[in-house]
Amino acid sequence: MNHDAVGIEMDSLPPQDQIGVLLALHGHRLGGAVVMCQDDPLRAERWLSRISGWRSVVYPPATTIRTPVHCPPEQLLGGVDLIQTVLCGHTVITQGLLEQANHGWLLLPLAELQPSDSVRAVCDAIDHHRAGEHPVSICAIAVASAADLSQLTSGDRAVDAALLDRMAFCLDLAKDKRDTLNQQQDDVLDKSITSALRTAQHWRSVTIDETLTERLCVVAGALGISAIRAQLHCAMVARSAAALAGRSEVDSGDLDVAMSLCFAWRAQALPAHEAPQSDSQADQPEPEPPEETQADSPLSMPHEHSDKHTCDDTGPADDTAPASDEVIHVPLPERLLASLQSANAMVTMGAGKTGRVGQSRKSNHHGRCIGIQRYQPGRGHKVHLLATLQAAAPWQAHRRHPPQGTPGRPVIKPQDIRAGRYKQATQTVVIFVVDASGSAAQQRLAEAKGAVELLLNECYVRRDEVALIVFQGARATLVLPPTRSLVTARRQLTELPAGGGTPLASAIDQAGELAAVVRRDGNVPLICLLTDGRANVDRHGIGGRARAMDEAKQAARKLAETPTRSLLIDIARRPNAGARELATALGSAYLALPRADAGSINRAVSEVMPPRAERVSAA
Amino acid sequence: MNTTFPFSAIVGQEAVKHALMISAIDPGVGGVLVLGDRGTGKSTAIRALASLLPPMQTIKGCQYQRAPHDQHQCACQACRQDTPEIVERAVPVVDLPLGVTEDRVVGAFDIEHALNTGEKRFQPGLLAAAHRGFLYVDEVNLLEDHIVDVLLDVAASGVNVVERDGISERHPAKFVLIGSGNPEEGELRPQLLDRFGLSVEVHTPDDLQERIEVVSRRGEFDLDPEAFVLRWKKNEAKVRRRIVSARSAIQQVVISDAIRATVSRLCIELNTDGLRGDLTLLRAARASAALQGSPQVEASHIVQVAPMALRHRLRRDPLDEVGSSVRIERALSTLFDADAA
Repeated sequence: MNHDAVGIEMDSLPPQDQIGVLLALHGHRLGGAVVMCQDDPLRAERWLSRISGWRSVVYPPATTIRTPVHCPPEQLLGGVDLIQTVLCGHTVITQGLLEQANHGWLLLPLAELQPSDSVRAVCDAIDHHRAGEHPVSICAIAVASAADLSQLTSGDRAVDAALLDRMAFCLDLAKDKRDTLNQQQDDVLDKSITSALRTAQHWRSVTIDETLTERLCVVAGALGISAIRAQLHCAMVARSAAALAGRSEVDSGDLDVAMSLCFAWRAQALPAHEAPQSDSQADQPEPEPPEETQADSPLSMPHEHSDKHTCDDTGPADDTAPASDEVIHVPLPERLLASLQSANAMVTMGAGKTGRVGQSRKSNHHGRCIGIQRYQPGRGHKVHLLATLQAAAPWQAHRRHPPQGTPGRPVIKPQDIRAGRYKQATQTVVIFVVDASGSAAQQRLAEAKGAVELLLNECYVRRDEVALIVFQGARATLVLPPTRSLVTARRQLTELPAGGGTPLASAIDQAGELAAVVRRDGNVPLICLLTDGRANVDRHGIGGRARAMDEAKQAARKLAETPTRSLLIDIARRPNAGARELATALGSAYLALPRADAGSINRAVSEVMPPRAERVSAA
Repeated sequence: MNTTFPFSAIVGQEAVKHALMISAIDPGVGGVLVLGDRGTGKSTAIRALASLLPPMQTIKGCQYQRAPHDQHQCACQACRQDTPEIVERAVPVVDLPLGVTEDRVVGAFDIEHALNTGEKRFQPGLLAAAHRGFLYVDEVNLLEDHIVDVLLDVAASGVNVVERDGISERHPAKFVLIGSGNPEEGELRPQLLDRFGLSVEVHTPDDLQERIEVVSRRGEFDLDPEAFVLRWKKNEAKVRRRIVSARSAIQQVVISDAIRATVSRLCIELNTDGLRGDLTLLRAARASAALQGSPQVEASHIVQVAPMALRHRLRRDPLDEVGSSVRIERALSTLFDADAA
């Protein structure tokens, strides 16, 4: 209830207006917001123009700068405009987009497609209030096309984690539709919001009690939010909520609003990662959900989703086999991946591409110079001076009549400017797709894990990145997105529980999707599928061997059409026809996992057995 | 707007603060690698330290921040004057953005100038800007290898030599290289790891009290940075005095032969590659002793700095997860227990 005539209580507003008011009050202190509106990107702009209107009541009018989709960092930071410089004869500096957005909004459409260099520039502007050498203060609105929170953090629509970390809020405009309000109601609301913004100018003097700060940290810990920034945002939001309501002290209601806005989306974004990593926190989640985080969640993340996650984590363990940490090293051919990459190329690439094609990619500023192109501003081109002079040389005699520029110096026109084309070595990303179903567990999962470990060693030598997809039960999961951290890969692998059905089709689909993401980034994917080839769960998670096998082969053929190299390692006890057929459909190399040699089995056995001396003393 | 968070107000992160102070006292220790999670205040700590250090004197307008009495010849306009004006400026902290080009780092031909005037001129890069200060590379593990090579090379030699595009340029670039990164996102090549003097790990504090303290202090700072800085001014001055006096005292710190022998034994025990470990450990221990006002290096100083000086130099299996710190501590305890016995 409003105690103060001009204040406004946060919980009386829909989430998008809560976030809007807070950003209008001090967006540049809160980093900004990620906005998800997959079906209608314009909704984000309408929302922004509304809050921009509120803001202009209390602050000088704010500009909204919209970046292009693939915005190169030079455009964000500004710099020398080469064309104008040559035309005018003196250095012309263009203002970067960040500087133009100073004291206003920076709208990043399709945030997931922004190059990482640009994201870094935005993060730097948020953290340190500067763009290059210029002081700026911006509020970034990242519009993501992800449909839900899990897509926001992983997969091909994921937004850069560094940017997400700096954003205070996440708003799902696709789910949170407030168009139902009529114009009149809107006007009333606008009026009360702007008057609240005026009163909120005293937010600096709002105090927050020690116990509330403690509660904030406890809840963050319970939700597994390790990011300190989220907690800082939360404290700031609580303070602002109190100021907007006209209070001089934060009460627990303000804190609840703040936690539901700042914590809910982060906590639910990471359920799968929390469970295996932190043993110390394993017992904490029970005392958790303080009702506000779940019930009032502005995002009302579909609950079945997070439930499904927990099911998957615990479910399979009681299904069939217990989680086996056992890893057995089997003899694999040396330099398997390397040989695969060169020898297998012809099989899968088709279209006459052979050898190490695809091992390098073209770039406008990195790597070895392989040619010359015409300079185009804003593309990250690097000027090639010699080529520029060469291009200008034939015209010099012509351009000197009538004389222009300083005598004795070459006259250079914008069309002469040339840039280099560069070739850069690319990264290979090895995607391990591991079958952890019940049938595989009975067979040779431990040996499969060992095989992957040996391959990881090879990846280390080759400096490859690795990713891990595991399939079991109803579907395949991306356990580890591409990383260079082999330690993490190994840890994930060792902790792999086994059991359940074999959803081979969805595993192949997912590997294909990941491979597409890898290719989009200009890197080379290499799929390494370890399975016994006995699919028994179809794409919809329904059992049935015949249908599952059909779908698996169909998925394999689809994947084979893309230029992705693959390797299938058969982990069945005896090499079987199913796996071999699948390899043919995939157009991949086939390898039956060799038997672990006697030596390693011996060693494994002797490690399990207690030393003999002890046994004697015990008897 | 751009007030920096005070160094002394940073909660916890003792290892990082210690390593940074050592590098500020003796830049010859050779850079600090900070590995840890996002949002643990890595960059805050570095900026805070730089703004805490006493300002340095330099010639006005010099692109290389040359010290007034530096014998080194400087080619820039400002230094060629007969009576160059001397100004004070803050110790620079230069950020190296991810995806930076080699041109931008080492400096390159000034293309605009050449196109406009037809004159050949060198445009100094980030290495020049970082001279006498800190060069901070966030996510150093994601930086392209050849750029990391250049950085470490120049950091070690203190001179940047440019031979490219028909330019031949040489300028001093003495800076402390600070790299940070999240090991989960990728690893550094071992040969690069070895070139960092010290290496520390930071974690998000899991202690509740510490987290509360972080949130409330940062909250205070955001509300009113100037007032916050004013409140911490005394503590800042204290730390500054310690660093300044340690800088002047470091030459007088004695290292006994017994300590040298201990260090060598420790490195042999741990089987570190090369001798850089021994050298860095001794230098870091000396700086640490100076910081604590001790006239000689004691065993306790070795124990303090051994983990950060050696943990990234141990030979290890790329897939091994056992922390190197544990191994070092084990070796330290056996070594010093043996000495005591």
